[in-house]
Amino acid sequence: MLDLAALGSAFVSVFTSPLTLFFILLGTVMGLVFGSLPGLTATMGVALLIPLTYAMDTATAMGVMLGCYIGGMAGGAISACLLNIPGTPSAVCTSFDGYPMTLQGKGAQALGWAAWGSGFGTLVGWVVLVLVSGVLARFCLAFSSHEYFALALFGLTIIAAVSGNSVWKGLIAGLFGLVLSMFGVDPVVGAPRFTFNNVNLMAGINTIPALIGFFSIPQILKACTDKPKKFDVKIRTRDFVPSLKELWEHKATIFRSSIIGVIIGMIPATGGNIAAFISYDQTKRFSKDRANLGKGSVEGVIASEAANNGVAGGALVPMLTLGIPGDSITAVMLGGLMLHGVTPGPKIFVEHADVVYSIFVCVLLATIMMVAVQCVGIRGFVQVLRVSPSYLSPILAVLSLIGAYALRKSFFDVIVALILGIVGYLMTKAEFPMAPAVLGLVLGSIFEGEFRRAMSVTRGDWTSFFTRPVSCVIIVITLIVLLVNIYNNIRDRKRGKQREGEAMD
Amino acid sequence: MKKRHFELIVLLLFMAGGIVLLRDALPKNVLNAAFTGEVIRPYDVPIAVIAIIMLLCFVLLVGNIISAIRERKAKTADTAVDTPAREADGEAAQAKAQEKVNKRKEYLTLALIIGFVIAWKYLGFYIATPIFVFLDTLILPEKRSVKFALLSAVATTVVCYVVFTLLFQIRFPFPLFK
Repeated sequence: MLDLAALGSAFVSVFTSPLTLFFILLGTVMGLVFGSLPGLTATMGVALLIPLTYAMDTATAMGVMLGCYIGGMAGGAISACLLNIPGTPSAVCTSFDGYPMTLQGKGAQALGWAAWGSGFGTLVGWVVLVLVSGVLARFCLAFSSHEYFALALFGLTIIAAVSGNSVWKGLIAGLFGLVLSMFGVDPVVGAPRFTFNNVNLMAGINTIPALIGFFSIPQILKACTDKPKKFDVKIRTRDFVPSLKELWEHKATIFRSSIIGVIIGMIPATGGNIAAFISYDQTKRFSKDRANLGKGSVEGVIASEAANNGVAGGALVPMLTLGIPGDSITAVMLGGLMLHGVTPGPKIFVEHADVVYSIFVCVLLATIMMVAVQCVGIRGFVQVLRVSPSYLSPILAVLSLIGAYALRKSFFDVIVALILGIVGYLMTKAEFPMAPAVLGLVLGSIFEGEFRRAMSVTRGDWTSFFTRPVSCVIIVITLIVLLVNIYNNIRDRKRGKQREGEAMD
Repeated sequence: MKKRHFELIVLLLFMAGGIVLLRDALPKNVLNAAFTGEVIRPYDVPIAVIAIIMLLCFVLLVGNIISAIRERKAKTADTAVDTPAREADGEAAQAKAQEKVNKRKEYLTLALIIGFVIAWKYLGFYIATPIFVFLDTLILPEKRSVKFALLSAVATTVVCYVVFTLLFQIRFPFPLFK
């Protein structure tokens, strides 16, 4: 049960500590920077901060890490919207609409909506975290291999939604990503697979170098001969601060995407990228303006950003209440908490209630600061567009490859980024969509690993996927969604042919 | 090169990659069956996925070839009709020439990126970076400026050193001095 007195006391305690407020702001800015640079992730940012927090009190330490987390999840949108290079995997879907908006001269609006979408997503996550952590955490812990596989299968149907015009090419790209996820060590038996006697391949192909290869390098090559974008010199506040009327118009997308993010965040070992893809897919189904999605629709930006930041609140639920991280960043933060003598788990509300409520306050403050910093910084961020891409491209190439290296301090990851960059460049020229490849890579290990574990536990009884209620419901929804997609595809093609016939007449 | 040519390259690349992976996977899958006792063996899912990719690539490849043949036939039919010779449109010719220049810059940049990675491996990051940034900044812009390229190279290297090595403690190996 929520203790309002304790929450109030935590608010007073944090607000009356200028040092804590300063460090939350610092963490948020650092997170935004890390999130916006391809390859530098919030996970890395939080990991770098942990040793620095040793001398801080627990509330301040958590504040700076949470600031970095929330800023990092939102920062990916900056480079995704302005440069079509997602700073984080969870910003891939943001680039579908954010970048076209920039090309239409609405870069400030794209960034503004990304910031506010992120803010609302984290806020909804915060409300869930504060009010219902305990109950929901226990429900999500009930997820076993069957449910994870069903979720991954549902995630893979999104390939159709992000494939653009050619579903076949999208499918090939998605399966290519799936195959890449199978390099390394077998998830069930632990035997090396597709390593070709190379010890570097034992760790598999990491998502970050692949993301850099698929998105950064082709985009850098594509844009290197572009002319600088022309945009209005005056950026007005209303360009990036939406009115209440505009927020109300998009309330359904904001709320739906935030809830998707919170739910996905609560499921351990998922993350913002899965949430963003699912949210984008659902927005494509429910939006009244779905024809414009992928062409510069505000809803596309909101869908992705609200979901990936909703994950932040959701991932803290199992981390605090059960000691199980919701994603890779909370896994690192768990280490930070334990460094300060706080053991997350069911007893945390009893033994360290003050720390828990301080965390609640820090999440709220970091969210407000993240939106404020982005709104203040938008005028500066869009100036990047004035710089000729031919000057920017070499610098971006260096930063991207540093990002590939920095994750594991491994030159092998740079080679992976380069090779996948060349493949990604060829695929882009051949009009293969890249998003399905990232989706396949992200979901591949869950898809295969959990399927095989489920079959191993049930001795090959595939009906077990339908006897477990949650897994059954998700698979049935997946089949319905697939059939609806196929039907819509056939119907749209028939209509297209009809229109062509009428035009010729 | 047209989109169709790139499609052909990508499809053939995937099929070749698939063959390489299947050659690795199939013999090991036979061996694994005797030892793991798993319901689904380690290479079962990869083999199935690779097989689907190769099938889809084959179908697209055949479609590609059929479309190319049809297009060629349609082109031949068009040129068989007497058409008056057209004078080259000045603007269109200029645009085509610019496109050629841009494509060349794209390929050069790709070659430079590959060279940068090789130089990073054998000379070190802090030697490779200024060389790459200098050369790429020199060739890409329409108005070349050696001064600006030099400035950009030095600034990028210094910023990378301060931010990544000093601040974030990310050390890049220096193989030249080993």
